Amino acid sequence: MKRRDFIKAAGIAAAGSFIVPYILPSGRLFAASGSRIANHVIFCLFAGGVRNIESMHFGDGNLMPYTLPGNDPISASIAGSMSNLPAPSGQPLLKYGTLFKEFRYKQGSTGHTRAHQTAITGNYAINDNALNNRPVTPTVFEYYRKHSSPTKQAMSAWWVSNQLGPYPNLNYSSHPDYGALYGANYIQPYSILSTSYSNPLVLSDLDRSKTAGLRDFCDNNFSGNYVSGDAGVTNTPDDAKLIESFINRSVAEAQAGQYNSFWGVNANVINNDMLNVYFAEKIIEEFQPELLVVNMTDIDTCHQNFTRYCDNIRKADLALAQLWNTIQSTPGMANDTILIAAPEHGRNLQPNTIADQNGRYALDHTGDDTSREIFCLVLGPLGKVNQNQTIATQVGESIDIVPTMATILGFNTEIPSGLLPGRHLEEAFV
Amino acid sequence: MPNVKHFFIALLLSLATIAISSCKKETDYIYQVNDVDVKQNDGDKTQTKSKEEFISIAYSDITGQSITRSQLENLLLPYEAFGDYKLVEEMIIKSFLNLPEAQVPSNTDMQSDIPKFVNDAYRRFYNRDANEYEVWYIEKYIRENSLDPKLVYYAIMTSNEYRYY
Repeated sequence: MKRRDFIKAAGIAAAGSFIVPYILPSGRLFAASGSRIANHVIFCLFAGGVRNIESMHFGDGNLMPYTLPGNDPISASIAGSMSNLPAPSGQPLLKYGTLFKEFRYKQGSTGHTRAHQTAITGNYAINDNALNNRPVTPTVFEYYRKHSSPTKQAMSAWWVSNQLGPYPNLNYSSHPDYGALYGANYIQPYSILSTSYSNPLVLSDLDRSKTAGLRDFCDNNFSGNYVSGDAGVTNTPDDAKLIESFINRSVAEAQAGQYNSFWGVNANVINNDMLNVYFAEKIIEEFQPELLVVNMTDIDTCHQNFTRYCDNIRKADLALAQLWNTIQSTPGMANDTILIAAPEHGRNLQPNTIADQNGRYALDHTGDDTSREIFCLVLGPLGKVNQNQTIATQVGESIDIVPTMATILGFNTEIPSGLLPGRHLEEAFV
Repeated sequence: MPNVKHFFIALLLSLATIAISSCKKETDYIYQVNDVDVKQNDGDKTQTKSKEEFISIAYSDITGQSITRSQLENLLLPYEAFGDYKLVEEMIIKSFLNLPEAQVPSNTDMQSDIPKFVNDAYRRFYNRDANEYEVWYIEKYIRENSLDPKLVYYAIMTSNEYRYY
């Protein structure tokens, strides 16, 4: 071998010896840096179909005074029908972050389930499966649990929805490389709180240990294995014990009336969106999850009642502010959490034929341009998130939220290429 | 030459022996012990119970009564509303075991004949007989850990086998 050929071969071999150990099962060359912008992300789907005309452009006044500055009065036609909510006392949420005022839900059906799937998977559900099936592309929860280093337990990721139907299926996908093993803890507070397991057998830690030993014996004598998938998402025994205690305590509090009225709001004003966010706050306080997605959908009353739709936007605005306040008052979450809020889709420009008590016509969402116009709010600590910034031009779309959450939590580089078509919303970050 | 002839005859016989023995079906030798079925004692259960089936069967197994439609719907709601089904099932079983109508033997009854208690529990919950090893092990486990009947029932009803039929 000539000297030059020897040096060339040796060089290639040396380079290979450096590179090969870093080829990961995911097919990536190098491991993720793991650097995070923050250690917690809360994504609030301000959903149910919110038109930018009412939310961002004050078509009927400022219906979101907790989020946006401006004293535009609520239009006279509906003002008398608005619920009595406490007036904001602090700065609007915009002061703590960046508002993408002209965000877009660009593709796919403007249906709630499809658009929820898009927001949670980072992929437009264009050729997806039936509504009641799980998404075919992985959810943000699965990316997070599988690609974080070290991998995360279910306790770290929560999906809190205010309805059943197709929503329980959004805590993990049917993707063969992901699935229940990497899913989030799913909870629908309304049903959990309205039904109780009366007077349950109480097990001490010793009882748990003894029964676990006997159960292990039984399981070892049986060939079937009831695990993730059929069994849903599986928590570790220690985490399951904490969650069970939390649920039992919450049910007892609900039975004692503690969920009837909160945030200084009368019981007759509380809607399911508020209850859902309030329960998400309890999860935040109890477990300080790294990733939590919570939704609100009562705004969808707009199919029949425009006035109530506007009122529910106000309630969702209050709920979002309460969520932010809870984050800031929770040790471990304060100043280390990014809160993202966005509707799943908008509503039509043209109304349908249903007039409400104030003569205002209701709105559906059937895929016109207006029903694709939404906003996205990114809030976070000073020095990490650009504060008090409004981007009024058309920037960003629904599929960008998952890559943004992945970047915040530092696992973005570990996600195999081709799975996420969107991008990190870097405009929001310092 | 006779040596060469003998050599070839011996070689042919050897090859024939190898060929015959290699094609011969394996012989099952039976010694002075009984046959032992090494298949696990799972009663050939391969299907998981649906949520409705799990609740209905568990209620019936514990109380000896059928669950009402309204009770079933009441329990299905939170079952649908939490994603860790194992945890929900454990909570349901704990609730059922403390119902006034729950039919659980007293500790005295269990202690008077633990093998019978174990066999009865296996028939009741697993729909099969416990084998001798299971009876021996669980009796020992109950004695060593001072388990009461409710805890034994809880362990059996939260096991994998109980989730199948």
